[in-house]
Amino acid sequence: MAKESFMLVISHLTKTYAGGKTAVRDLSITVESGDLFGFIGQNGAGKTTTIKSAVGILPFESGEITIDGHSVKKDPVTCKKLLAYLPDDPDLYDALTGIQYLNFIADIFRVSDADRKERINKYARLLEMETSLNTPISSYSHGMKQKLALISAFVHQPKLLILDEPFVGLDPKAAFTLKTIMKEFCGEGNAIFFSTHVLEVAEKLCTKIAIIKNGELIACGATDEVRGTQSLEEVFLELTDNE
Amino acid sequence: MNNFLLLVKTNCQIFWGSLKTRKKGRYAASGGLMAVVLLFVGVSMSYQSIMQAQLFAEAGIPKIGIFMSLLSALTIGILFGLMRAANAPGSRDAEMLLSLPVKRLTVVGSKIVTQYIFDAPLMLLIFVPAVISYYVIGGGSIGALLRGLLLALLLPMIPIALAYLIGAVLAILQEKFKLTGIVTTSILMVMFIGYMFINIQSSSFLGSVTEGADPASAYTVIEKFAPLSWLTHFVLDGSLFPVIFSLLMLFVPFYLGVRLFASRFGRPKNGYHSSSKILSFVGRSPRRALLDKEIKRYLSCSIYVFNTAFGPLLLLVLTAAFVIAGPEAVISSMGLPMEEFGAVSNDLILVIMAAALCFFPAMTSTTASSISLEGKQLWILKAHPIPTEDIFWAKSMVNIILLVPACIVSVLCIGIRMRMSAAETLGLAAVLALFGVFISLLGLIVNLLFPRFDWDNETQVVKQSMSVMLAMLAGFITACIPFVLYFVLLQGFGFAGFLTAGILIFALLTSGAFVFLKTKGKRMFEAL
Repeated sequence: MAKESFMLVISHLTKTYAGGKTAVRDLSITVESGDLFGFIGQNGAGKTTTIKSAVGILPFESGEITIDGHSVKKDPVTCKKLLAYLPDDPDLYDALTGIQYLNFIADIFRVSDADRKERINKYARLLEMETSLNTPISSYSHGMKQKLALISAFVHQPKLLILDEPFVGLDPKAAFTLKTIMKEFCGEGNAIFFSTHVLEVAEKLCTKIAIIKNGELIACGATDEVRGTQSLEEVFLELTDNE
Repeated sequence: MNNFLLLVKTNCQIFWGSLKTRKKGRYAASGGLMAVVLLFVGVSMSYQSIMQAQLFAEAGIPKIGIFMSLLSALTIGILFGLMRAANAPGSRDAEMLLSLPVKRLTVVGSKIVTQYIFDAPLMLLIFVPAVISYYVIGGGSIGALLRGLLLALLLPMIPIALAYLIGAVLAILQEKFKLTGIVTTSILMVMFIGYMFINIQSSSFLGSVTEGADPASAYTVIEKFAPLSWLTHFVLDGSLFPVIFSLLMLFVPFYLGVRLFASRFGRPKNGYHSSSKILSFVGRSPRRALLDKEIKRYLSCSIYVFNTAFGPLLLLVLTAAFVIAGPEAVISSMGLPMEEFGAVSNDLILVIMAAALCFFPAMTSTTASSISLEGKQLWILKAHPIPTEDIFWAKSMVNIILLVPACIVSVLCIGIRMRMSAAETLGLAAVLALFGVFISLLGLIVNLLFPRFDWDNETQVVKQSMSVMLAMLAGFITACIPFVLYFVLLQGFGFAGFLTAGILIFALLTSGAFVFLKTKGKRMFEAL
């Protein structure tokens, strides 16, 4: 496999918090172009820590993370230009309206006026947000903030999407739309790395899966390989219950 | 412990816990600084009350002391109320608390009592020493002492009532109309300026009437300041009508405010919804986008504007006073004994004036809380390809934009009024501009050292955080350096010596702050 196809490479990542708790220990994951990579684990297993380290929010002590060949530690700005991140609880700028926030993100990524218009209109229509974009974010529900953050993630056409629990707070129609968008996005040669608690979604949607427990990777590979003859739920419970 | 006390205790724990930062030493430092501030206010207010009581007793008008301290306590109280009004209906934990098996009344009551606990100390520190001084020095009765102490406990109801009443009205307006935070801030600013105007007018009127007046005419002044006169008589003589009026004045707005607060507690802050489909897609440079975002953030937070717009506003007021009344009159009114300087040189006047002007940028640090104000939205800056230098630039620029126009106007007016040479005018502009830039960078550094992201409302960051207090203190100390240096070493060099020292010192400090932010500051931000 050519090196260029590795969208996200996490090598021997270890992250210890100030209090001394090691949240992630020697974790290695590789996400290639076209992968729809599901990252599953119990609460507190280290999913969000891994994701925040990968997007350059959390500094980490040892290991290396690269985005399309660029080191997150050495060249964070270049890495961030290539990816889009959606947190589990997107707290957005309350003082702005939806469209002002989207323009802010488009400005940061230097998206042209024509491109941002086309993309915002497209994703706002898909996620049924057209009539809410002139409203202050302070009056948005959790789901609306989630949708706005999703639109902002697509406004600059990233190569890699890193999503933390993207389906939480979305209504069934929006969740279906998001799944369709995710498949299309990866079909175009991009990649998605996302955490989820919804094992049915991971099983049906993901091409690859990694399971994390107590900060350590306990399974990783193509969904069919990880699952074997069992359901993903059975595998997950078996692996995570086994002390 | 019953639910009510448990909630009050938890609210206080949240406040105390919010002072805690990553390092234990800073936790102790935050608590220590608060204790020192309260002790300082307590000691200085007690000293002032004793001095005032002696002065009024000697003049045969001891009752004026109670009136004056009531005026001070109410001034502070109304200021608290106005500043908190925009945040009054909101509480981040409202939904969680209302979902608990606790009566709504208990939840709301605990919030009000907590607010009382936060407001009361300063008002008590202002009013109680005056009441005791009046009893001990001014010959007040034991009844007056007891009524005074009772009133001291009731006074904090005023800022609470005011904040809840204005806050509820603003929240209703926000739901009905497209009133953004900017408009809310503007409304509160207009109210605040009106309040300041009335306060200054009252003080000057009071001063002119009581100065050298006989007791009878001095006491008639009290009657001109109803409803303050009711509260004064409540303490002094406890007669029926003032007592009734005072209690009505304290309890009726409080009751109405609490009712409105309780009815709105837990509702979303801004319910306005626009259905307009006309969207704007105009691009800007990343730096401009960041700056626009910072300016919108600044203007949307009333308490933030209140806390930082004073500097430029007072700078312009002082400039107007210098221009209209003349520098000698203004400097004399500051309490500096001009006659003791002998033949006062023009240079000395210019130095004192320049030093006075330097104090106002020190009061204007939007940056001291700008990183903390990112709160849970910090991820946006950290997860996007924004160089840390650009973030620092945008945050500093808000402060610079706020200060520089006021500085330019001030220097130009004073330059013309004092017939300063072009070099002196430019020199003074450079001193002020460099100091303004330094204050902006200093605020960022202090906020990086003492960040606070777990706030419940913006007031906790903008008014009560360690970084804001330290930045202001450090700013005042820095403003003194060229002034002290002039008097110790540079008097022989005149105003030019002061300007040279000011430019060199502030340029050096600004460069140091810049280098710190580029290196260690950048790493600190990335580690947040």
